[in-house]
Amino acid sequence: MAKSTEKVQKVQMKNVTKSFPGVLALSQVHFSVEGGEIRGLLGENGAGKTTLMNILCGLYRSDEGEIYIDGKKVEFGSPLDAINLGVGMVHQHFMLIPVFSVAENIALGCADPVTAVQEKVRELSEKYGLKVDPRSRVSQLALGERQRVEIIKALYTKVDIFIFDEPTSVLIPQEVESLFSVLKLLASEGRSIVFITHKLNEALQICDNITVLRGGKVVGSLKPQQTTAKELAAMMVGAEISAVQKVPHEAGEEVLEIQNVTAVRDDGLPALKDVSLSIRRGEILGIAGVAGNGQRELSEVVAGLRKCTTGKVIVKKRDLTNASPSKFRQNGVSFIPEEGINLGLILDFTVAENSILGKQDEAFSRLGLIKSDEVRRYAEQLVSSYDVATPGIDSSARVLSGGNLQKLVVARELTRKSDLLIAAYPLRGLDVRATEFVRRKLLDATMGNVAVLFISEDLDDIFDLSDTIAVIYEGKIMGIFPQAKANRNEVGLLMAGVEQGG
Amino acid sequence: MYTAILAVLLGFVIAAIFLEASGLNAFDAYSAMFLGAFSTPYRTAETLIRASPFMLGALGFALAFKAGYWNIGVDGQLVIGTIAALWGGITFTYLPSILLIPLIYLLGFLGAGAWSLISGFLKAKFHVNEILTTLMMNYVAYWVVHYLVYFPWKDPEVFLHQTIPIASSANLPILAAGTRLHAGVLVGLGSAFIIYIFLKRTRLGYSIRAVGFGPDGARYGGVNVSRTVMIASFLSGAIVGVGGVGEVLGAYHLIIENLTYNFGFIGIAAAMLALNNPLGIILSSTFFGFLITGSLYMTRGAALTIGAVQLFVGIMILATLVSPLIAKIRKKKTGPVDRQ
Repeated sequence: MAKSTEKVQKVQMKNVTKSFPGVLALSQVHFSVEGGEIRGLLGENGAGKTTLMNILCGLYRSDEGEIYIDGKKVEFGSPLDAINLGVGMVHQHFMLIPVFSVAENIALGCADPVTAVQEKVRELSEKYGLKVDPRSRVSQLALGERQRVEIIKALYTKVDIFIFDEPTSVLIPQEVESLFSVLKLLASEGRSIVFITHKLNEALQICDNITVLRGGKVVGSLKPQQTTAKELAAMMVGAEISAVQKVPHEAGEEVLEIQNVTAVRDDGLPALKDVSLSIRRGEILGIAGVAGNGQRELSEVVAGLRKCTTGKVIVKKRDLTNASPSKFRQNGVSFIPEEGINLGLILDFTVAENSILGKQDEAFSRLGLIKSDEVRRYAEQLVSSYDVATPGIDSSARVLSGGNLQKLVVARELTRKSDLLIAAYPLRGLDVRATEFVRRKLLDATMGNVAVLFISEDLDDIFDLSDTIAVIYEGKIMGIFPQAKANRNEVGLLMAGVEQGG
Repeated sequence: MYTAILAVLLGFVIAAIFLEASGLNAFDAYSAMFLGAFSTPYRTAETLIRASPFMLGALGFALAFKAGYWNIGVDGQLVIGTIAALWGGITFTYLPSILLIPLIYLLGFLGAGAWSLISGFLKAKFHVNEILTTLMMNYVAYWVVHYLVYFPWKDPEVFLHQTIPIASSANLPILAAGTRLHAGVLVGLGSAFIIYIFLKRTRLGYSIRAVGFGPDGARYGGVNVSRTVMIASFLSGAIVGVGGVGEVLGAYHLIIENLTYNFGFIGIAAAMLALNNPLGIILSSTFFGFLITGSLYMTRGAALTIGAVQLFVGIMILATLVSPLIAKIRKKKTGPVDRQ
C-alpha cells in the first residue's frame, strides 16, 4: 500500500467518527503518529481525547473511519486485538492489583512463570532507568513507582505504540523529569508515543508534534517551536484566555489554627502526624503534596468530618476540635471536598436541592420550611454565573457531567459567605475556561478577607495561587515557606519525603 | 406511574395463566372481583375502608424509606396503633368526642412512633440492622395484643376472644349514609398530601431525603445523620399507628386478635408499587383495597376456592414488588449519556 517514497505512518486514524446517545464525541478525526515520534494530544475535558484513544486501544468501536497500523488497515474486535498489534495504554488510574508483587502483576495475563518475569523486569528496569524492585508489593509503592510498573508492563508485552493518559498528574517535578527522559528513550528506539495532557507547558517541552482537539474535532496540529502556550490554550477553548494575576495585599488576623493534630485514616492507619498550621484572613495556604499523603484527612478534620485523635482545631479563636460539621459551617467554614462529586453532592437530589446543601439551615429555611422560591432563584444564579451545563435546576444532579458537578460544588461553596474556605483539588475535572474562572474566584475570595486552605497536587497551581506553601508527606508537614521564598526544586524534594533539599 | 401499571398488568396476566391452567375462567373471575369491589356504593365504601390502613402503612414505610431506613415493622406498628386506640377508647370515656378522638389519634401516633423508635435507636446508636429488629418487633406486638385480647381486655359477655368495645363517643363519624365509610379514610388521604409536602418542602424532609440518598453527602451538609434516622423511624411508626387507630375507631370499635394482621405487609407492597411516592400511594393502596375486597367475591362469582383466591392475591403482591425493578430498567434506558 505505502509507496517507498512515502514515510510509513506507524499509526493512522482516518475520518474517525463516534457518537454516544445525544453526543457526537468525535467527528471526522484524522490523527497520526510516526515511529519515533512523541505526539501530544491536547484538549479540554470532553474534547474527545480519551474516546479517540479508547478507539485506538480497541475499547470502543468507531461508528465510521479506519485505523492503519504500519500502513495496514486493522479492525479491532476487542482490546486484545490492539494489544497484539502493539498498542498499549498507561492509564491515569493504574490498573494494578495492590496485593500482588510487581512481577506477579506483570505475569498476570501472560503465561510466563513469575521468576522468569522477575529477571526480565530487572533487565527492563535497568535498561530504561525505571527503578523498581520486581518483588515488592504494589500496595507499598508510591504513585510514581506504580507508573513505572505500568510502563515496564507495557514494555514486557512488547508495546510499540504507547499511549500515556495524563501521566504527570500524579508525579512530583523530579519524577516528571525522569518520566520525560524515559519517553525520549522509548521514542529514540522507534516507538510511537501519544502523550495526552492538558498541561500546555509539558506538551511544549516534550512533544515533537501537538494535535489539539476541541468538541470532537481536530482544530490543529502544530510543532512546539511554532506556537506558544497562549495560542494552544486559545485553540483548546476557542477563545482567548487571560491568565489570572495575583494582587498583593495584606493578610489580616488568624482565622484557622491547627495545633499538633494527629488523625487516622478510615482503615485506622495514621494519616496526620503532629500537624500544625495557621491561616490568616486574605491568605491562601497551599498544601503541596502527592495525593494520598494525608491531604484528604487534613481537609476533613478542618471541616469537622473527621475526628482528630490529638491536637486542636481553632477557628476564629474558638476551639472547634471534634465539633460537628454543622458547627464548623456555622462558624463560617466552607468546604470543597476532595471527592467533590461523591461527598459534596447528593446525586439523586435536583440541582436546586444540591445548591443549598449545607445551607438548608441558615439561609434557606424559616420555621422548618424550605423557602422554595429563594432556593430556585439562588440555584439559577449559581448555574448561570458558574456556567453549569444542566437541562434545568429541577433535573437530577445525576445527569450532569463530572466537570459540571464539580462546578456546582465550587459555585455553592464559593458563593457562600465564609471566613475559611477549604478547597481540596477545586480545579480537578474543570476545563480551561472554568479553571481560570475558579482560580480568579479563589483570589477574589482572599480579597474579600477569606482565609483559604488550598490543596492541590499541581505545583503550578500551588505556586500561582498561594501566599504560603506547606508541603505534606506521609501526614507530616515537611516545611512551610512564603511563596516568594519557595523553590520548586526544594518543594518537589520535600514532596518525595527528602528532607534538607537546599 | 407507567411502571406501576405495567407491574399490575403483569400480575393480572400471570394470575390469569394460573386460573386458566386450573380450568377456571379468568375473565369471569376478574369481572366478579371488579363487581364485588365497586358495583354498589356499599361495596365501593368497603373497598375504600379496606384501603385506609394500607395507605397509612405504606406512607409510614415510604417516609422511613426516604431516609434509607427499611421499616418492615409496619404490621406490628399497626397493632400498637389499635392497642393505643382501644386503651384511649375505654379509659378517657368521660371526654366528649371532639376531644376524645383527637386524643386517641395522638396516643396512637406517639405509641406506635415510640415503638418504632426502639429499632431506629438501635440502628442509629449501635448500627443494628433495622430490617431484622423491625421484623422481630412485629412478633412482640402480636403477642402483646394476644395477651390483651385473652386476658385484661377480654369481653366476658362474648364467647369469642375479643376485647370490650370502645365508648361510642370515640366512634368516627360515618361519611355516607347506608355505608360504613368512616372519617378515618380522610385521615389517610390527608396524611398522603401532608407527607408529600413534608418531604418536599420542609427542612426535616430535606434532611431525611439527604440521608437516604447519600449519608456521606448529608453529613457533609451538616445533617446529623443518626438523629435524622431516629426521627424518621419515629415518624414512620407514628404514621402507621394512625392507621391502626382508624381501624378501631372507624371500622371495628374493638380488637380481635388478628384484626390487622398482614395489613402492614400489604402496605409495604403498596409503597413499593408506588415507588414510595406519597401521592402514588393513594392510588396503589386503593388498588390493594380493591384487590383484597374484590377477591373475596371471586369465590362466589367465579367459583374459586379460598386457596385459589389467596394464590391470586399472592401473585398480585409479588408482581407489584417488581415495580421498582421496572423503574430501574427504565431509568437505565433513559439515564445519563456516556460522556467521553
